[in-house]
Amino acid sequence: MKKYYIETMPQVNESMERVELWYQGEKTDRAPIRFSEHNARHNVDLSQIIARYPTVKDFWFDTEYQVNSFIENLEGSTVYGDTFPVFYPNLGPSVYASYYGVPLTYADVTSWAIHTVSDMDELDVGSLKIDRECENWKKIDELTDYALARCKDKFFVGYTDLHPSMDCAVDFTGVDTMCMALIDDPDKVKEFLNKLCDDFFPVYDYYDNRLGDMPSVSWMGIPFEGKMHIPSCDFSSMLSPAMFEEFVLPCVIKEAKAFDHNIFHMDGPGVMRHLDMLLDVDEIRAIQLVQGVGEDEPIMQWLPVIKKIQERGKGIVVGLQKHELKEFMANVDPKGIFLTLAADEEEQPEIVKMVEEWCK
Amino acid sequence: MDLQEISVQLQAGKAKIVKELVQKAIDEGIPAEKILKEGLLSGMDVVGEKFKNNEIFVPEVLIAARAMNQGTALLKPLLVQNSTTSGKVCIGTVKGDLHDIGKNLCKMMMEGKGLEVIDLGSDVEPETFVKTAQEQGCQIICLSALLTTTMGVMADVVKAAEAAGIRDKVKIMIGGAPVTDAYCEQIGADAYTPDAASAAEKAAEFCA
Repeated sequence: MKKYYIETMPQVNESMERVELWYQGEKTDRAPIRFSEHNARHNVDLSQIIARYPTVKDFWFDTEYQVNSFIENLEGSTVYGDTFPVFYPNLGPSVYASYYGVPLTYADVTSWAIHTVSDMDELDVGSLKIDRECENWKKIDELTDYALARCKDKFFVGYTDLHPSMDCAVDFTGVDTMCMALIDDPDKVKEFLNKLCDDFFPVYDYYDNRLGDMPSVSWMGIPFEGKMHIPSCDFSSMLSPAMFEEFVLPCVIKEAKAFDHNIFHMDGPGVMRHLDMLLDVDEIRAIQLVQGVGEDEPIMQWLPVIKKIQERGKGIVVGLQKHELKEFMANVDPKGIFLTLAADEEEQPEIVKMVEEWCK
Repeated sequence: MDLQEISVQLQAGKAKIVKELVQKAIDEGIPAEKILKEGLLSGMDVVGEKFKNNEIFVPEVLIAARAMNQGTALLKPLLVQNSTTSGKVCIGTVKGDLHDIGKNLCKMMMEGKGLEVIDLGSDVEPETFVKTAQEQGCQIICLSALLTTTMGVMADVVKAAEAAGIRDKVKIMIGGAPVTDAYCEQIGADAYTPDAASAAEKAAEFCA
């Protein structure tokens, strides 16, 4: 394995090896753990910063701010566990659709697609084309290059948040139009999905090449030295298992087969109803469990799901609250678990020790 | 004719057939209220129940709602003469939040209960909810939020309703992924419901 150096993460190579083993489904010395809020000292009121810009979009498009504030947040800190510092250029989860011309609207912490297709009859699938000269494509390139020029010894640079296939299709149509089309015009939907899926692979390769020697990593922050991808379909929370199998699963499989490792982003209890089908896809190496918020958030209610994934020999990325950790560790085998949790920097070493004990 | 057939076709989302059957029922002289209640609303009741039990999902609900709309369009002119709506609701996703799926489903289910629903869309200011409720005489303000960062606006709506002096005249219902019963109690709203079908049932209960 290649050797890395990151100033704030002296354990980077040890972590890379641990995560590599986790990807391979092998036994690790301890479960990998990624912390968020690793440098609370630099927490800022985002709305005050955005208020300095003429529009919210200008904030998102301020390349220097986006990269330099990330670097500033790292300075003087130490990252614990397997919290790889990763900058990924980000214009929100619909950026892939925007490459086809779907406009985006920006809010403080996310962006939305403005749907352009209200009637599937009006959609000419053959005419859809990724525009590598469009504003967002160029901005992602600029963010990537700016970050690459500043990352040496400091952080990894990842690829942007790419959602091809069904979620991209829904960016074009909105949920209502797509739901109707699944029943009214299933063949057209499949033609559309195949186009969006097939166009994705050269886009992924473009970023993979642009990022050069970087390990393959994106918003999830779990790097890999081959090619890793995060298949997902948030829209599938609205679908029956039969519709998931007919419309969504074929593209998920096609995507997964193209990469060395895949972590499926299972966003919420609605998507969990399709878990059995996802577990049958050999190329999906791990599942990221996103249990939701509010009443869905407490992790202990999801133990049956976690154990089911473990029984199938897949890895599972589990996000939980600090106060849930002890009970979780008392009830779950560490096999295949990758933990993510929010903790202040000074608490993190102790948490790492607790996780080590759990895995002995 | 058997109005149950309208209900069955509606559940299957057969908009064209529902439209034909509703027209046939009108032509046979069946009162519009009866067609609405025993045909369309009865069908949407079944749809709501199945949706709540995860027997059907969003696409099936949407095509059923589309079929209902085709039928109600024919009945509307006849119903206007003696209004049959049992209550009026204004609904929207709160300021700063553009998610509208849950809100749209609630609207459909509520219409399926015979309620008149004023859809304010998404990213709605607290004052707009209150002003609409005042001007349109709504019994219920229904709020949706999908983000933890926007759910706080629900409390602002409750405060705005108090400030406008209408809090005792409207029920405020809340829902969305991050919302809980405890949060409902905390901000002084009247009801939290976890899904669209339950929201419609609760709204109908408030308007009864």
